[in-house]
Amino acid sequence: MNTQSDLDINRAVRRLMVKHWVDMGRISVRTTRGNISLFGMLQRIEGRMEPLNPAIVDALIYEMRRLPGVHQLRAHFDNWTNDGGRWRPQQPAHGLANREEEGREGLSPASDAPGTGE
Amino acid sequence: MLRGYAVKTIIAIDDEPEILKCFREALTLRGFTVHTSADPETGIQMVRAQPALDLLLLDVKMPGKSGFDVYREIRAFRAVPVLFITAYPRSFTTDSDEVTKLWSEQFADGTTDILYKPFPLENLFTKVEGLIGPANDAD
Repeated sequence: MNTQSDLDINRAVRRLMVKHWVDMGRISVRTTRGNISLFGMLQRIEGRMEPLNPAIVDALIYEMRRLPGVHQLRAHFDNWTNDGGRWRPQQPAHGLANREEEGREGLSPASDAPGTGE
Repeated sequence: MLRGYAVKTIIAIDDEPEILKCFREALTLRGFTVHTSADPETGIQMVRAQPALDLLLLDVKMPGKSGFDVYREIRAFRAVPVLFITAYPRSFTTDSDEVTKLWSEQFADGTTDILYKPFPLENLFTKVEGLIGPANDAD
């Protein structure tokens, strides 16, 4: 169920995605009692912008975790994986066209320590 | 004591009648009140005439007037959340000055989202309820 504060969190998450030129059409966001779930492909909209890199993804997830009211953030990206608390692109086995076939999960709590548990 | 609540209202503007039918049936079953228009100009008039509007579903590519034109026109008089729905992900590209300007100036308030066709209904519900919550606040 979305409470008003959950809707406020969703809105703040969308603001961050817009700030980083993330293609919102490929990402779904659900927030329940301050627990954010992100799933889908994390990538920028097409065009002149540089693609997302690990530093930007780390910063984006960090900013989301630091939003007021956020207890936990769970990210299930098809094209990024969380390795020891750091995000890295999931290497496509058969080129970029096949990225959507590959699923990986990353967990990131709403604390300053990246990627430590659910 | 009875608790009062208002069912949330959505207007969908898309030139494909089958898509509008899908929106109307799915979101009505979900509890929303849904009005539809296959014509952008009529849709804008519906928005003007609807005092309590919670969300606008807007196709991007329509004959006559694009979804971006409709968005700018409506946003000039009504601050309503918008869910763009398109079969063309390249509609949103920084190669377009129009998109870049909309993205950085209008989308930045966090009340706009995007859904690509085709989509499972669950994704439609997630996007809609992620923007405005469930159909009524008594849920």
